[in-house]
Amino acid sequence: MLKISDLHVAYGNVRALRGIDLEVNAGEIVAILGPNGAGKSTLIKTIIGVLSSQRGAIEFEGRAIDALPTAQRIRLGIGTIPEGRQLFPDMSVRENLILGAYAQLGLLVPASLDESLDRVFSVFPRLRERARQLAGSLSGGEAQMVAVGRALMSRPKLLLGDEPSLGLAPILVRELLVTISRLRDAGITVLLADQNALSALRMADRAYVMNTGRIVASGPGAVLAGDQRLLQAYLGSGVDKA
Amino acid sequence: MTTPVLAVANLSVRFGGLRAVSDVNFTVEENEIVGLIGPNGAGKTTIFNAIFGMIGPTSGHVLFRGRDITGLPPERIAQRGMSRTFQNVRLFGELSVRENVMMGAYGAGRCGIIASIARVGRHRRLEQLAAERADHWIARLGLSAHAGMLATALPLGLQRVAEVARALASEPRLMLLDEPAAGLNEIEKGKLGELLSTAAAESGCALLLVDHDMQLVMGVVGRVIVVDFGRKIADGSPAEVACDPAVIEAYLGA
Amino acid sequence: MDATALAQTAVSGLANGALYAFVGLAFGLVSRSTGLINFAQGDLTMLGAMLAAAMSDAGAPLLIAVPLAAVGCAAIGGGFYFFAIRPSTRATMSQLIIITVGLSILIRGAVTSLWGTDPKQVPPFTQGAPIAFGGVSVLPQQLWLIGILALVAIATAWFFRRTTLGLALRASAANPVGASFVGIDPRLLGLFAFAAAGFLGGLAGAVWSPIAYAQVDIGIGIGIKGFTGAILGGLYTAFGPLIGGVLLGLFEAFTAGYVSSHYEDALIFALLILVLLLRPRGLLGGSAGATNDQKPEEILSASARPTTFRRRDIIGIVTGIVALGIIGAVLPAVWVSTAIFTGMEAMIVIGLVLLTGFSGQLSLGQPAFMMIGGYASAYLTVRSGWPPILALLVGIALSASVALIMGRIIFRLHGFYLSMASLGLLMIALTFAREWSGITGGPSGFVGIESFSLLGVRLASDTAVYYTVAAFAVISLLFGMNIARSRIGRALLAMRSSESAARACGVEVVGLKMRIFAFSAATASVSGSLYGHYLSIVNPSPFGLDATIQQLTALTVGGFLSLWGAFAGSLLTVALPQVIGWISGSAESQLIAGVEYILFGVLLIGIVMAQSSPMLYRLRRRLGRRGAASVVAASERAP
Repeated sequence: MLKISDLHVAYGNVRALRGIDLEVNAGEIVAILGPNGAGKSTLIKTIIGVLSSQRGAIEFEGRAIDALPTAQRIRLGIGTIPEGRQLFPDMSVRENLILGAYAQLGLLVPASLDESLDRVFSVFPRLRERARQLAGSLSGGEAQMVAVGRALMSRPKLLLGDEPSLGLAPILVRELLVTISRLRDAGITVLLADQNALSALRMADRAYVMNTGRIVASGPGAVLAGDQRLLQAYLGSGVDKA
Repeated sequence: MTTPVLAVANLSVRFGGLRAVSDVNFTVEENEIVGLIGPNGAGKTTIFNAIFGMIGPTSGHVLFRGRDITGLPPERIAQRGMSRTFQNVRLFGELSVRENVMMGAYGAGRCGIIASIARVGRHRRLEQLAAERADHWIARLGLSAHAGMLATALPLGLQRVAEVARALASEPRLMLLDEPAAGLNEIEKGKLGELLSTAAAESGCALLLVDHDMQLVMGVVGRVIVVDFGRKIADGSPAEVACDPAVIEAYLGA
Repeated sequence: MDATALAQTAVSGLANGALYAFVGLAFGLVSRSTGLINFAQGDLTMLGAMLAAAMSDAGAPLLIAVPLAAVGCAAIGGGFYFFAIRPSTRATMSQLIIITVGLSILIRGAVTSLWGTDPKQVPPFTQGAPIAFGGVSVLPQQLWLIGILALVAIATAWFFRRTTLGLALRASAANPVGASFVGIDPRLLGLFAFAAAGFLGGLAGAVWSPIAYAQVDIGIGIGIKGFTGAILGGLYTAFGPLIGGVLLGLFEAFTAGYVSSHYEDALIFALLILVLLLRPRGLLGGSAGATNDQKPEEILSASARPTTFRRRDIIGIVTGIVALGIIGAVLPAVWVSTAIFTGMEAMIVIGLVLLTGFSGQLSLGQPAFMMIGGYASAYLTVRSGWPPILALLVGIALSASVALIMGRIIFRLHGFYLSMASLGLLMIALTFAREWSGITGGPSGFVGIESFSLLGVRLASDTAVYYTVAAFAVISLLFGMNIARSRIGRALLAMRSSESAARACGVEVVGLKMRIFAFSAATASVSGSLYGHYLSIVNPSPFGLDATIQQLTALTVGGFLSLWGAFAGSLLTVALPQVIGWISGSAESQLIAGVEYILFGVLLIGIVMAQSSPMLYRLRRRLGRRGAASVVAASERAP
């Protein structure tokens, strides 16, 4: 579904990605792991088009998308949960969700969008109650639901998640992971960047481990989870009590 | 019994109708390392901000080294010997790592614009003091190789270390650390934990740290305070707190 | 008080308020989508009136002329964004704002060349006598203006709630990063905002013009009022600018009618400052908006700007002093006055480098301190016969005291709100200079101020004045250097990047801002004193917003953090108009005067665009990288 080859990205003098090759097949959950500064966020941002690459190719469903603006990539079926959620604090939850479908809207907000909203509310019933509340007044867990819901509004085939569990209490992290598995069961492919190595590995079909802008290991999640040497080298002790 | 370095008494903070913190009491003793944990939105950062004078409490008092500091602005509290780090690292982007750490010693003395223009002796002494402290903590925390770099050019892990160095350069009696491990990986977390323990021991300063990361908190601290919905629900050793039913339900999950 | 007269005043206030509301809405649109103030907004409004009048003079029916004028202004606004703002991807906010100053000058030049400086008027939309409601007579055109504003207000409400673009604008203002992730292109929003702001401005001008005459120089006044209204109501809210504008129009009409039209400006700005002290983000609140220069300078290298003295600084200062000495000896006589004005400008800009560059506080009120210095020197030497140096020192003390007192009040504000409060100080000072004639001499000010003297030695010749100004400029530079390369300079830069972290380090931010404001006031004051002695006259006219704009241009061109750049930037802003004047010959005809403006506007836009061009950026980066490499090497070599 997504195929990345020899991707290079630099900010100023800093080379953040140095030749990434990566593939995601339809229906998979794929995790990208690695220490801070490894380039996970850069990779996610480059796939959705918020950053542009210097070299390499990104193909989505067999079509080169490197030159397309973000809006067009969303229309093709890629949704993103950005790092740090990035909600619009002084707009209502409903407006935040509507903006998730921005790339597909014409000049006016159509009535047919209610259907998409209902779908998100059925995943997160809590948000229906909060629809008129300002996003800035939500608790961390609720804000995370809006971030996921916003990404679902464009009805993506591929969902990119950049550290969606960051800053959540352990109990909420587990809920989030359950939601993500459910989305996969509903037919959405998931590419997840995460530091929370073990819980992500357990859920993922496959995983890539990144370090300093390169992919240093890849394989089925369960296999990587058992590789103590790898976990030690790139992900710290790997002891995950949660 | 000695006076605790920090005593929070009946602290309440309200935003509009919302009770963010209600009636919280706790103390931090000299040289003690205390963790403050709780679910997101439980009021941890609000408690921090109220202690450091960034927001005014609705009621209650904060005593620092036996003196009431409730309502003082943060700069005055800093000058009295408390320092802090921020959840989203706030290093000064246009200054080098060394200059950032020198800023930590800014409150060590007063010397205004006219004194700076005239380059009086006091100015030179303060600059020397700041440079000495900065060089000491930079060396001590292993930042020497990066001292001349622009602080924001460092990777996040080192930025957190630099922020700790800046907080230490004020020679504080108490340091507040707001989620020092957020965004760090396991190795970096481990290193940061060690570094905090040694720095606290060396400088003789007490630490109060907020974090979600149970591992870091439990490994470093001697005592844990748990808050939920703005109230204190537990206060005790890490082992005691970890098996407290109220804590398990609110925070850790079954 | 007569109820009819009261209602009559309210009607005329409401009509002017409608104009300000229109212009304020346009400012708000641009600020919310791009974070900029469009300095050309008032000129676009003037242009709308002129275009409509010209078309109607040429025989076009109003039904065509008015919409066409609005569309024309929209095209200019949009085109300006597309060709000047959008390509300047590396420019800082302040550089972009100076580019809009260039547009303002360009529009004024074009209007002067096309239609001269005479007033023009659009005929009323509906002919006929004023309509009487009870005893209150209302011009039909006033009803048109108020009615069209009401329609625009309804359209605005609908736009921000129901349209995709409206939601996107709000989203992008709230969180630009989040907006980019849902596919919102900020360039599309910027283009739309500049075009829509042009349309609103042009429409407002065309509809308002039948009530009053339009003239090439009314743009600045309308722009200030519109922006003041927007700030009063809340710049970053949907309806704040509208409500603020209408209130401002009413307040203006009532003070002019019932208090005094002489003190109108002072009272308006006193009201503004008062409102902001109670509601620091305007009546409707809303976000604080971007800080003055939130977009940080690009990180060109990993090495930081030094905040301690380096050998290079000392070599620079010595070389600079020697160079100034030589220049004074060899400069052709025609250029000496240019050099003198450059030096006086540079002193002010040195203050601004510390105030605006280092600590990030954008003051629009610096000419107020030039006035205090100039008037103190004039009064004390002419009326009291004091020696000039003593008068100059009294000026410094006065300016610094005013800055400290006013600083305590206005530094509770942030961003453009602070900037407007500082402009308010200038407006109040200007009003006093004009009206308080017992002390200030009124509009004609003081004449016959003797030249500067020191220890009884009169420094009257141009060369002597040059060396005097050079000496004061070098002293300002040295003082500025001593501040920049000290713990204070470090604290200022720290404060600019994070106030809360600076406070946590023990920096008293308001106190520090006040003191640095006082320093900048002192250098401006010296400049004003020397100005008075050199020209032998002081009156209010050179100390208006034009002076502010010139200083900011010099600051931006010279570089926000560069004390040396203060001299380069000042030289450019002082010398460029002269050079253009020589090239285009004597400015006899209006056409040539207009062309000069156009040329200056284009050059200003060009220079700032070139400064931030990707090419120059790459060059600086390459140089920067070499610097960074040597720093790393040095740190590795160190024991």
